[in-house]
Amino acid sequence: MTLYNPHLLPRQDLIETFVARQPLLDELLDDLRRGGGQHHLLVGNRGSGKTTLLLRLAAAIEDDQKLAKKSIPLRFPEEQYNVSRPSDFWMNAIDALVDALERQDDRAAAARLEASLAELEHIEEPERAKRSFTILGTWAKQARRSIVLLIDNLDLILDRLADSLWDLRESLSIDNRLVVIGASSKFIEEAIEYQSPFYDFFHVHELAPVSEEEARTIVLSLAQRANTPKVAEVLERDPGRFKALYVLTGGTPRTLALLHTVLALDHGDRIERDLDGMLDQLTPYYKARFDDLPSQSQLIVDKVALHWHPITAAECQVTTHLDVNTVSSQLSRLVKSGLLTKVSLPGANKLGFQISERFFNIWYLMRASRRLRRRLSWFVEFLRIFYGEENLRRRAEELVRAAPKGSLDSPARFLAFASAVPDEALRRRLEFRAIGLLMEQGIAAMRELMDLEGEDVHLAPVIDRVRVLREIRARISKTNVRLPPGQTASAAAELVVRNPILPLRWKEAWSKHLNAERVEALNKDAYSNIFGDKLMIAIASGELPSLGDATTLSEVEQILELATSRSQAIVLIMVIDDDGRQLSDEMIRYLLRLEPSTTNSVIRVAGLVLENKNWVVIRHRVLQVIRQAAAPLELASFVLFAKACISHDRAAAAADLLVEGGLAEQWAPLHEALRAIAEGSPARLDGLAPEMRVAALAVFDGLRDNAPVQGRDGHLDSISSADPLSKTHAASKQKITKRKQAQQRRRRRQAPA
Amino acid sequence: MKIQNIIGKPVSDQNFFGRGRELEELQAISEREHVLLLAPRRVGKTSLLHALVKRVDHDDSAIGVYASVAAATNEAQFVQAVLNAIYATKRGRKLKRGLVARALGLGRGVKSVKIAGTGVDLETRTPPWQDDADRAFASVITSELPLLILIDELPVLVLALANSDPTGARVRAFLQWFRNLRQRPDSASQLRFVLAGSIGLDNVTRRHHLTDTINDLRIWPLGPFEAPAAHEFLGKLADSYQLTLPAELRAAICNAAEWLIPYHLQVIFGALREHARTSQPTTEMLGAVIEGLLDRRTYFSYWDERLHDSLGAPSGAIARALLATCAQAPEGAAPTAMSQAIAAQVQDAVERASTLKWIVDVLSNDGYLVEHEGRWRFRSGLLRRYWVRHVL
Repeated sequence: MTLYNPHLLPRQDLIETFVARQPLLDELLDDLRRGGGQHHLLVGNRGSGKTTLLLRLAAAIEDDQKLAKKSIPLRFPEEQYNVSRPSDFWMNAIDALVDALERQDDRAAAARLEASLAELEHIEEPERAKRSFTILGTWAKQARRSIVLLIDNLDLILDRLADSLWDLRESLSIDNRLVVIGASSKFIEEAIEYQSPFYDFFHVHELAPVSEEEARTIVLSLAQRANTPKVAEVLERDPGRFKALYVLTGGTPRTLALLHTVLALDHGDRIERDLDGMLDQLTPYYKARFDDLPSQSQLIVDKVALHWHPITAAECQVTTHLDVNTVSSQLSRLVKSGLLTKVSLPGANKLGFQISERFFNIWYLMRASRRLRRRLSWFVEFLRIFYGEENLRRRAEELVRAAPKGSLDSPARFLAFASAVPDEALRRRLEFRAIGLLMEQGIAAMRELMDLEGEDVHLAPVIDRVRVLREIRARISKTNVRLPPGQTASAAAELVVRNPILPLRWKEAWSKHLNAERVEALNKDAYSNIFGDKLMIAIASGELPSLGDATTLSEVEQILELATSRSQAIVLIMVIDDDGRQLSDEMIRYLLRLEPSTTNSVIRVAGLVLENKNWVVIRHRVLQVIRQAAAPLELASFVLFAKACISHDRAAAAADLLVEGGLAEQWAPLHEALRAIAEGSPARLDGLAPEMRVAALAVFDGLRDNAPVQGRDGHLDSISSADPLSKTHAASKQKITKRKQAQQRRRRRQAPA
Repeated sequence: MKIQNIIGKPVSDQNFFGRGRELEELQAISEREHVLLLAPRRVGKTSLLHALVKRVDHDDSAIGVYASVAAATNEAQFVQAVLNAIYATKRGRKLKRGLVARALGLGRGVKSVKIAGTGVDLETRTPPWQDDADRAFASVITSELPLLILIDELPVLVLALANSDPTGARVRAFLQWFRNLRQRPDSASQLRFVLAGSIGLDNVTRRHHLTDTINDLRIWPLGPFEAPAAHEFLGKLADSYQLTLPAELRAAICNAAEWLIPYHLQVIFGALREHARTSQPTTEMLGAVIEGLLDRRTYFSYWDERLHDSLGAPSGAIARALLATCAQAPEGAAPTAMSQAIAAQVQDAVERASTLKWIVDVLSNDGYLVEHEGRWRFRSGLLRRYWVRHVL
């Protein structure tokens, strides 16, 4: 297959692969058979099949014995740059005639013409033009054959002979044995301009884009020639996919040939890798199309192409800074020339403009965007169309699943897939893969590929997290601290980074001051049961933040999706006492609605983890939970929390919390008891009504003595045993307290007397 | 007799259809007067001139000489072209070879300066070319051959000469010389001229204030086919392609063409033939064919855009208003209606009349409008439809 040089095709291949434009070929042949008094002009965009049609026509004339007897087709080079005077044009025709006669083995006639050509060399214009034209006419008359001049880029010839067009028209009008069948990639103004010699002179045939059905036939024919049965299978099995790809080609035969190549690559991986190169083959074609445009049109096409999706005239005006009338007139011209297409947009009478040939748009995006991620948009759009939604998801999952980290050639590919897939979770996984690979390549590669201040801003925290975790690992691996027996530095590092609770800044701090006790404590924490390996691996890799760092709804959702116990994860997310972290009321409400049973658990656990230094955070969180509660609050839960407050001398604050939470009246005995404890005496309870006083006194006693508490809602015994989670954390809390006490003892021992 | 579906190129022999009445009339007039043949482009002037040559040759009333001077870029080449054409006729060869040869040597020794962009050589030679030209034509007259010389594309040369010399002296000198030649008392029975061209000579001379140099010419306009001729033409054309065009379909084609010149009929017939391929054309197909022709946006939009480019504001807007009025019906609009259409833009009645005259002149010269039975109509029915659909 040749994309640009159909004249290099072997004759048989040319004939067999000629599928598009057959009706026009038949029409031209019919006209020649009837005497050929008509001049024709084929107008079509580059790649629309003009050159191939001219070559095919020549072959058809030669193969038709009857027609060949009365006509001789003359082929010319695609661009006749040597033409500057009429005589050059006619002498080129004589040259072509000599070639044609030699091909037909008529050496004598060829020699005679060559001799006459030599004589013309020394004659001046315009006599030379007259003589050369006469030579052609005389030959045609004597041979009783028409001369069919197949002239590609006829517009070029007419431009070069602009001063002699009346003369040329005259010559082509008087001799019926000379037939011009010309081609041009643009409408020749001389053929439209009323005052021009060639006004309405040619029978103009516009080579419109081939229809979907014709395109199918062309691709099938190419598949047959190239022996690529896979292509026929795709067309048969997935007509919708072909339809989408046909739209990409804009119905241009040259691009259809490229489409065949794409379909013939039987594996997604190859297509994705080779597409860039294949599109590059179209560069001369697309570049010429773009270069042919006037500068204002180029500016508009640039904006429309970069926008990819339909752009309105108003949007175009804003981005180009041209005045409204100019933009509107240019858009209209570009639509008429076929480069742009008008599409209806949602909304009353709203119209958008887009590049008609989507492959051209893809090609443009490949080259025009400054940043690589933006440049990838061409690939993204291709993926969407090429795979369709379902296949795209499948292919993306295959990539994430099958490709071990570091095995892929390009993180850009992951990012392209990430932009194309509609599934949010899949998109994040693909992006994370890309980040992992980019980390290997360094920060410069990251900056080249991503716009972390712009469209990729959401990836900035992920990148930071991955970077810090890598530093933690590296730091611990190099550390010289004494580790528990049998523990390696890298295993210790994994223990730190895998911890699902600790916020990242704690992990970082720990990595700088790691000791055997901490490692041992981490080793004993049985988080795997609660959270599961998937979540811990995601946290260790940086794909997800730890529970102590999760602040956005998206992060929380991802954590909960992977956690083995959702309720326990929710409780921990809410009570981890990192004062640098804020959880919005919306987030609290969302979590409590998700698992209503966690409402009371959070209050209980808050009591267990309460310390003086985290009082503000814990108080705020408990208040949030009380206000957003999704299940009835249990007195027992709050009593447990109140006891913790009392133990930290915060009985009054606990009472205030009840007031703020709107529970003081409902739980009046508890509230009064807390006030009394805060005042250090039950005396204030004496002023209460007898039934209230009895209940309040009972609570007072229970709170002060850590005894079971009898409240208005019933008997409250052993609150701390209500929740296994509470037990776990109570145990953890005890461990931490013991560790602290041990540390204090050590310090005291080590301190100078 | 087979007629070929030929679009745009002059035709002859069996491809030249009808026009018997016009030929007879033109022949009769040209026996007495020099004629200026006027018609918009693509009406068939050149084909008619070729047919006239054959006709006068056939009945031996004169020696028909067809000379296209499209390629001439100066006065000498004009003279050469005409003399060459005379010499190329059977009886023209009786002219003394030497006389013609001398005339053909007019350009010899001429030093010329190319005027950039005009395609015209400004001669610096002395003595002036007229001397040789006069001598040559004097010899032609002396030969007493009755010549009917049909000169095609003369306005192209006139325009080129006018552009080559901004003072207008050169073109005036040429046209005056040519007028003198036509008016020579001794040439009355030997030399008669019919002048024609793609561009109207009357417009060219009017714009360059040279009307007095052609006021001896009898203006003879060539119009479209009459409806019966158009029907017959379509019928013959269809026969040539083994197709049948029922009367109803022929009427529909004429209806679509609106202005029944052979070119328009050929274009629609050609498109219908392509559409029908192996089947017989039908009236239903014609609708699709017309839509297909109207879909040639590049072609038609050019007419729309050119209006703005060539006239600018506010004349462009006035021209659009006039075209909008004329586009309302195939038969066009009367001048009074056109005047009303631009009354809001040009309120003063005197100024409006002169503006109307000027812009209609431009629109006619540029091929938008033609005058027909006192009304201005679109020259092309397809352009009118396009205008109604996409421009208004």
